[in-house]
Amino acid sequence: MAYGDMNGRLLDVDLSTGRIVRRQIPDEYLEKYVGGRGLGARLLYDNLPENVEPLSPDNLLFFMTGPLVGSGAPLSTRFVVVTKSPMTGGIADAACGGTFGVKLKQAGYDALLLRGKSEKPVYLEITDEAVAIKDASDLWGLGTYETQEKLPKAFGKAVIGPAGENLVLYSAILSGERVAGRSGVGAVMGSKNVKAIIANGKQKVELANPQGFKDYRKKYVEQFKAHPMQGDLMPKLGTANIVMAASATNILPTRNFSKGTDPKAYEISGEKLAEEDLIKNDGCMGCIIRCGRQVGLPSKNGEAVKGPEYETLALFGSNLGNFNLKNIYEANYLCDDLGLDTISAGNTIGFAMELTAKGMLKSELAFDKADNILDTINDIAHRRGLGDDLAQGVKRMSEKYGGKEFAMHVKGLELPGYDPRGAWGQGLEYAVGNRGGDHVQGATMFLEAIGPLKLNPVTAKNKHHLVVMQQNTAAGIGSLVMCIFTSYAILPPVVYRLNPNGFMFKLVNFLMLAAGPFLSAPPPPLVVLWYANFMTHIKGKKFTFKDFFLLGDRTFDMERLFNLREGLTKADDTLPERLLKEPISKGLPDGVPIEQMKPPYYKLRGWDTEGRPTAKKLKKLGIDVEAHPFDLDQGEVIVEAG
Amino acid sequence: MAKLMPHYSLAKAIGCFEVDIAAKNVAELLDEGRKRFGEVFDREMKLAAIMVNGRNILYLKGFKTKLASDDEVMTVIPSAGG
Repeated sequence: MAYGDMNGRLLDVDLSTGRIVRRQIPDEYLEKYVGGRGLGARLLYDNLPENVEPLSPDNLLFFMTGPLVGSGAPLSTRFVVVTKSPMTGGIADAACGGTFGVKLKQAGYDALLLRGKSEKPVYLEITDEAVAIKDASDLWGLGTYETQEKLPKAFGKAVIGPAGENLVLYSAILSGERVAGRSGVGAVMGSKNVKAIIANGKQKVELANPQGFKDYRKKYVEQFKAHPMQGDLMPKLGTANIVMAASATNILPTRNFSKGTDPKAYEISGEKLAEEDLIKNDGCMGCIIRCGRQVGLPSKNGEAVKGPEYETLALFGSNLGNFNLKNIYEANYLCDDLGLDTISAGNTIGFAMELTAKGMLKSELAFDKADNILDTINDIAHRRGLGDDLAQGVKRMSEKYGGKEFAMHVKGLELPGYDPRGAWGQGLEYAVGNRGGDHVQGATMFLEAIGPLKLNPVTAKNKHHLVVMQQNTAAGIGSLVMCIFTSYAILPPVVYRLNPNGFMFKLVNFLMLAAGPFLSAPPPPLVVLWYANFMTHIKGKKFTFKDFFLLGDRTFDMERLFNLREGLTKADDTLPERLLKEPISKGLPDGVPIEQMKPPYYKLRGWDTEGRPTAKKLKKLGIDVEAHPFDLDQGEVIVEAG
Repeated sequence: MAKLMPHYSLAKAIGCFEVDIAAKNVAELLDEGRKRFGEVFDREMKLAAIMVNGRNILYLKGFKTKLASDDEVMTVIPSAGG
């Protein structure tokens, strides 16, 4: 076995025939791609025929865990969903907390594959003793919360809501209150007539070095709790802590990205939420940060529900000119219950508001008018009236109604809560992102704008180095299947104590940006070794930071290879016209110079001028796409077809 | 007059989220802030970066960055998440 803990089992469920097979993932794949994003991308590449329609039965839907899941490593009780995206036509991956990942692992599986399509609504029950496809007629049509309540309590759950059933392109999958939101993974699950997957078991993760792991875990938890971000700010304010900083640094999407700031930003800030409405903190299973919020929902007589993350505050707040915090709580709850990605939903409504304001669409939607937002969310999930168009997202809306220049998406995925005109590295990251307009596969804006450093946000110089460093780190984390918020602790506490207007601060910022070439080639000077150290104790052999960084690089390029095979090209590595041509603020350049930033980025990645990984790069990564060591004909049949 | 828009804890401490201040440059604006709001202003500004129209003064002319009448000066403390 490649890992002491990882048995390498994949559960392969054909929903069309009812055949269920337990397969063994080869050690070579577990060594190279490890789990989560990386392994999922490789399995998808190998086993999905080219040009499959994403919402057809032929698409494959993977639920991936990783070696840290269930091990007791903090911030790793997660899973990643990988499939072909109905939004972009490229790779989809969406990570999620909740209990499903750990429970799937305890049932004895590192990965689950759903293929085909059930004739009628079903749910899948997985334990370490049996696997069964069960009738879900009485669950179909229910919200995600009621669905989970009706399923057995002890099981980990992954469910869709009415949005997924109705194939809203940006549907999500929920586990508890946590959301695999992006890329349309819920629509793919709905297209297979699968309402829910539940898992439970008693299998334990075995560690190669339990004492070393325990000792390191203790040290790691102490470091985190003492960190000003993970130990203080995130627990105090949650991700909503970003609102004020985003507004000050000109990256808060405001009225469909027409501005990057608003004087009323404080009305939807994490500080105001904490002062007025926070009931208690919440978090994923075993989390040591607990950045989740519980707030009282007015429409449920103040019942405590999950509060909004920053993204929801930005996309349903300032992006719509909506500074009514309680309205955003309602929108957040409704989207979760219906199974919608709040980022794409808010972005799409903002686009429709601008279309309406410009006379290109007849609707009642308008900026600074919140009273019909909740009805619109319901219409989207149930595909009623204009909701049927909105369910397709901004790319397809702009193809029907016009307005491509202000349709805020990349590759078909709506942009999240950061306007890149105030953080050019973030712009490059969006443009070349494998899943499209995305912020958690790098989060370069943390280094440029909102974090403790402020690496000149409006220069292209050396930004490709920052972006590659951030992307590879995020891809490595995504393949180990850990919380991305761990990466925000990469900068040591001393950085937070610097006077941001002093000489030393200026020097650190200058040196870090100037050190670009060292940042994107391991071993980088500032990156801590948490991820590699946990892996070493689990595997029982040295896993270095270089291994970690190479894993991230390999994962990223594997996803890129999938996208290229499915027809995406370098022309898709771009930003909406508004972000390229319209200045966001007085004194700033017109937009992000993306065409200037792409060539050095491609070169640094080891890609050719068309954005394709070269043979030399693939050799370095050990990727041979012609080799198919994972034979899907092999395996132990658990349930025969029919 | 430039508009000072402080970060949340400073705004709460001084009792407003927007305040107009007549100042030729950032240094003058900070001096005026100290005069008006006292010690709390200095304490809150210790770890706050200063943005003029969304641009960090680090990449402008620092405290000598000139201010026009419609300029927005925002202060910001580190954040993360998303």
